[in-house]
Amino acid sequence: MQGGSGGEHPENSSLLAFLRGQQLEDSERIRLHLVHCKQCQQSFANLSHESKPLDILSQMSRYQRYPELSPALILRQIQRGAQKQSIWSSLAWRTVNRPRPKKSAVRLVSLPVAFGVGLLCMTVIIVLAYTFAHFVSVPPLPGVLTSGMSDNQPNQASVAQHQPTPSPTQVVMATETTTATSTVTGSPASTGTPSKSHHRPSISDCSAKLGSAQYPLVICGSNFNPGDTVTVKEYVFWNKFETNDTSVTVDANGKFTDYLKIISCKIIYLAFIAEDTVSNPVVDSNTLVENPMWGCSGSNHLYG
Amino acid sequence: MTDEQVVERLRARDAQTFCALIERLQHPLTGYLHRLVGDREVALDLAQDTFLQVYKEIGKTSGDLSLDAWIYRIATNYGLRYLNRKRLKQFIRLESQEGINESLATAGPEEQAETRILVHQALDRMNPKDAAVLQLHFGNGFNYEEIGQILKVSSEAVRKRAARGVDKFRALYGQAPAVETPAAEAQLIASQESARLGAQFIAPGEVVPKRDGR
Repeated sequence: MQGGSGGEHPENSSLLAFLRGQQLEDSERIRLHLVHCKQCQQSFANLSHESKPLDILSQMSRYQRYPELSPALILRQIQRGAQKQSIWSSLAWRTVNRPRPKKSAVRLVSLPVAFGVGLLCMTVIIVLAYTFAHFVSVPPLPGVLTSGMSDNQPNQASVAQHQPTPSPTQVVMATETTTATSTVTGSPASTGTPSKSHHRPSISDCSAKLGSAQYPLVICGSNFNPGDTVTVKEYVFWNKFETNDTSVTVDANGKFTDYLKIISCKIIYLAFIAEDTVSNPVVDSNTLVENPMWGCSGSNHLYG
Repeated sequence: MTDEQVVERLRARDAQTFCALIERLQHPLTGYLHRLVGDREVALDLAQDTFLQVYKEIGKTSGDLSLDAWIYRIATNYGLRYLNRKRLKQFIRLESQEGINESLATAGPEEQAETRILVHQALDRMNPKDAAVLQLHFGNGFNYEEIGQILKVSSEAVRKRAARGVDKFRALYGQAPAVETPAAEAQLIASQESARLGAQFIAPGEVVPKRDGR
């Protein structure tokens, strides 16, 4: 805006500053402008009037009265106040100023490393458990063939422990077992007196070779005394535990064959054992343990 | 003793220097806060808080500290914070809107009572920062540069803020309700009587010319 004197009109803020005697860069220019510019003179006068009531503020400060506290007393209160800190402010101070260790590279990688180590430990534990479960098998029950029907070899330990009651038989059996083992190993000390007891009586499953539709279950015996009568005991479970005995005669080769009928597939054959009751003492064969559904091919239809 | 020496002694917790400082600033600082917040008791508390803050924080300041400006800045911040909280409380109706504090109306010649009330009512309705500039300049006599130091703004900004403040003040001064409290009303009547008797009285109509008349 151009004034009458050719200069720009000063702003109201500059006029007020000039009025209030404040330092201005262009105070001289304003002064000269005011001499010639009627409009600015009017503005200046208005400002002077408008701000006049505010002068009362400076007068008021002279009349305001406050309790006269000695500076020493105030200082004492201040010192007491400075020592007192609220719980929150002291807590905040402690939180902000708490010494913290520097974040080193080790600290930064510690978490992933810990995670990796934990994972590794878990893997090792799982592998060990798996290995233990596979290589440490549960010891078989006494007198039980764990290899099933395919294992036709006599289980000496099981036979020895399968004696129903302690009797002189056990003593003989133990002697025979020891002798047989010695023969197998070929020890010179044990091969001095060969006898018929070198081959222990045993039974096996001949169903695959000799079985028929009528007699699906065939038990073969060997190493028995020729001409003796052998009792084949069948331990079965058909609603309750039962024992069925069948007698067979041993042929000249010391063998026998017992053809058995399966009356029902609901019968669960638990075990077979052959006893040479003629010989003295009684000689037991090995114990044959088989599939409960023996000869039924998974069906439960009736045979024979 | 120069300002720097005073600051140095204050940092050293020199009790004598502190007492001298309190003695010098206690009255004007409390008066400034009183006029700013409009409540005498609050002003006394805030002045105390200001000195406490000075005591606690003086050690953290730099060497070229303008001591008075710094202390007034602390006081202004306390005053503005109080006013903001008060306005917030009034806004959410936690605190009723009070009239002008009587202590301000009674401080001074009786014939100026109404002017004091009107001035404070107008300042009370202004932006607190603008009101603070006017209080510091007109009430405490700080120049624009000093006010700039107190408020941490340039003197140019203070100049504009002062002009804006005066402009608003002019508008509000004419509109402000003259009387809100019985005590103020009694004083107003008394001052009107004085005016009739010839004492100087600044009526709102006389002091604030309308913009159209410029």
